[in-house]
Amino acid sequence: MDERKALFLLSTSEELWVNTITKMKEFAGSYAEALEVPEEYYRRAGILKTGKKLEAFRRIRCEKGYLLEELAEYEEKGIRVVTHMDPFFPKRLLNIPDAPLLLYVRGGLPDDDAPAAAVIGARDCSDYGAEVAEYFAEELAGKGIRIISGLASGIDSAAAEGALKGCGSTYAVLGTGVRVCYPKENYRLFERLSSGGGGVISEFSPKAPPLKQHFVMRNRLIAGLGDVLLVIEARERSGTSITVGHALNQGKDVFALPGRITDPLGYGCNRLLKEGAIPLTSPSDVLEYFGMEEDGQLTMEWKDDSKLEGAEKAVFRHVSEDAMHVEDIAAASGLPLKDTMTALHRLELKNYVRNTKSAYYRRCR
Amino acid sequence: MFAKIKTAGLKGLDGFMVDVEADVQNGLPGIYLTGALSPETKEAQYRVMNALRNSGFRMEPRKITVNFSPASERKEGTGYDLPIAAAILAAQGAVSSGKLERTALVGETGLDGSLKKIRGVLPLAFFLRENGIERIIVPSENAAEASLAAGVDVIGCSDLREAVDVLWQILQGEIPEHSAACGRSCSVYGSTEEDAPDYPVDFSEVRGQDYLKRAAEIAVSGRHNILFSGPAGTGKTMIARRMPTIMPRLSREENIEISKIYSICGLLPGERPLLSKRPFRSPHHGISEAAFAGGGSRAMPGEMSLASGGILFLDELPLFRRDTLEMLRQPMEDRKITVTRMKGSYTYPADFLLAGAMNNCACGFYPGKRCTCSKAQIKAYMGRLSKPLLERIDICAEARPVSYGELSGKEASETSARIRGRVEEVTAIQKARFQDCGNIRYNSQMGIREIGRFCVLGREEQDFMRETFQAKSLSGRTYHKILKVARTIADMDGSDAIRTEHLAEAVELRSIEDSLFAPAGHGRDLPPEFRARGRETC
Repeated sequence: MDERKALFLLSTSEELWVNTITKMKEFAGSYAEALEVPEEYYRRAGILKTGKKLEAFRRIRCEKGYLLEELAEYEEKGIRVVTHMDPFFPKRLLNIPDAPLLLYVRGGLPDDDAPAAAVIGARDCSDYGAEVAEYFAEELAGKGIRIISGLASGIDSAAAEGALKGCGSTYAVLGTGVRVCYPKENYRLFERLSSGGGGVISEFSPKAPPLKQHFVMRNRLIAGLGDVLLVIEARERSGTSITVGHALNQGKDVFALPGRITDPLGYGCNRLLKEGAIPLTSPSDVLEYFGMEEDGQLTMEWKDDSKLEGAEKAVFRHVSEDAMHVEDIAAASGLPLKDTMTALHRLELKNYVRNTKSAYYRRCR
Repeated sequence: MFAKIKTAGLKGLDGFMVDVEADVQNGLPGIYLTGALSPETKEAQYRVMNALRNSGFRMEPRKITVNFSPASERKEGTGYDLPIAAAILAAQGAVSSGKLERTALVGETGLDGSLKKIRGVLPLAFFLRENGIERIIVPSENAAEASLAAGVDVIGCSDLREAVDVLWQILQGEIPEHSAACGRSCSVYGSTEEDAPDYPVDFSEVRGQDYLKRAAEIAVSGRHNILFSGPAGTGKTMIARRMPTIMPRLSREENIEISKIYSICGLLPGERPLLSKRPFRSPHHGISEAAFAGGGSRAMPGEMSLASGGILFLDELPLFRRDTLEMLRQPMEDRKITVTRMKGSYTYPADFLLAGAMNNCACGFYPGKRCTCSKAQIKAYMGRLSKPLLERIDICAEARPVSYGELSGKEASETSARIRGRVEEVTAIQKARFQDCGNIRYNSQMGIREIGRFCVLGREEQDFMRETFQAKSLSGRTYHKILKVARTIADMDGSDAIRTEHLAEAVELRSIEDSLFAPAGHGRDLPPEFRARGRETC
């Protein structure tokens, strides 16, 4: 049996994970031989200590034929199985601690020689955070930087969305298998990524459900696939701190978006900045880091009212970056409620304001 | 000897004539009742015999058979006591039933012979009047209520003896003096429609929240069902509670229709039996289906019918059981509800305006900063709304927290009376518009054909709607709802044409159904192959 198939078989059970499989290979000499060694030997050598691991190994050997059929089916459905022995396995992932042995991929993998930035942040982010993540991803992706994210809701999906807007490539490392879209409202994004806009990558078998421990494990791959890590919004104690820890372990630089000192979503970033993260105030900061020169500093600006007239101008002036209720906007602008509504709708059609929730509006960038 | 007395029974709000026939024969002494009687009606045999004896009538030790004709129709309630007593007395020869063709009796007796009030006298009186009855003898507590049926003599009696005296007077061709009471009560209650309805609450008490108030006025003007959403404590319930105060005043016919339902439930106040106020019903979300839609073993009207002509307010809409809300679907289309039970099917009016209220999340603070819910929790909370129900709601208004300045402000808000004045004008416009449209009375009731006829857009307005439709990815249904609401807003503005500003406001107040249940082509119509909590993709 060839080595790739043997590694695939050994990886089908989550009981035997990277460390165990590596030990088995060292014990037997190759993956193919590792499959043939009687379990009793592993048990005596102290490699398969628990009953669960032994059981998993036994099952893999029994169901070999069935599992190989599954492998053929994956490939038929466009799911590529990439092992660390393959030439196109991402080089960035070869040398990280607990490096994955095998990845399932739909779409493509990020090029080894193009710069890549991982964008992470809170799932329940603010409108501002989502807007910033989208803006950064759009600008950076437009300059050829690959955007890596986790395709979670919030900052992750905003970044992926932004990268697609900037006509760049974006890759998502999933906490589920590549046949499962979680959260399911990201379905459209998922489709676009796996069909041309980049790729979705997972180290779990294609039908793996969204389990808590999966998300923790995939964080090391997000950090590993990026050359730098951009943290947009994070609470004091959150999943982002795990990813940041991995990035630092792997010797990557971390950028953090300064947050308001009173905003719980800013605590995590501000703490990172205190500990030495690079402040993220413009996409130019990242471009400079990669040595990509730009004429002038890129700055994120909100739409201004210079091209507006009359009631639209009067109303737009009072719409803030955080969502406001129609009645508050009307009160601030001094116009009657119905004129305010009409103006807001026209502004929305012109892309000056966005309707975030019924009756709530905020300024666009 | 045989005697026959006229009375009537109720089946829902409709009546049916009943002849109570009594026959006294030699045989084992006792009283036998026949003719599809419910248990409480059948108990009359004990009540009536004792009542007669205690009123001083001598009962012969003979066999008395009382039959209710038509015997196939099921009879319920305790209103048959008095006619049974009268029929027995007539059969024993104490009174003659000969000239009682145009007199009907209803009422319950106590063991001491006193007459007690019964439910449903109002619809009974109207039914009897239409069936050629000229005189009704009722318990005196029911006299005022029965006398609302103008054109029929109502004689209230407080006990059996008095009722027998009245019967004698009728037989002797005398006009019983009790009929004077009827004349008096008619004049007292006849004046009700000129009185301004006196609600205990008023819109002027609501400070701030112009947006919600405006939405409420639009909803009432065009009879659009409305959903208030927003953080807790922002005045959603307060405004809903005041919505009946701005509805057009009840005409006498409407008033009587509503009062009939309350009469059946025994909810009419004895002193002033006509409801001058439009109802506001606010059932708790734990309500049973029978209490909500009507039903139970006696098929009584439910909250939907009790709210007829007024507001049915469902607070904390997502907490209502889905089965309960599904019951609203048919009544909201037909404006009446049919309750079918083993013993028959009953139709009650259910012509209400639905007002719902809900928080945006379980903690109640979203979109405020104090909200502690995650996006997924908020989504799950909103997802509990029933889609078929949302389809029937035209207006969704988002409340915002009120500032201290508004609460403590001195400036007086508009009174309900002023708003009602405007609403009545808009109602008149709609009445004229839908003259030849059959059943339709309000903008919200327009179908596709009427929308095409009455909601014509100019070129500029069409452009606006097209852009909005695309930008907001609206569904067809939402588009039509927007047109209907815009029609109402234009009517409120006194404008024949629907202009962009009317549309903009209608778009703002549009239903949230599109954002919760995306229309076709937005990802949700893809095959629902879910694995775990995620979605399987290939």
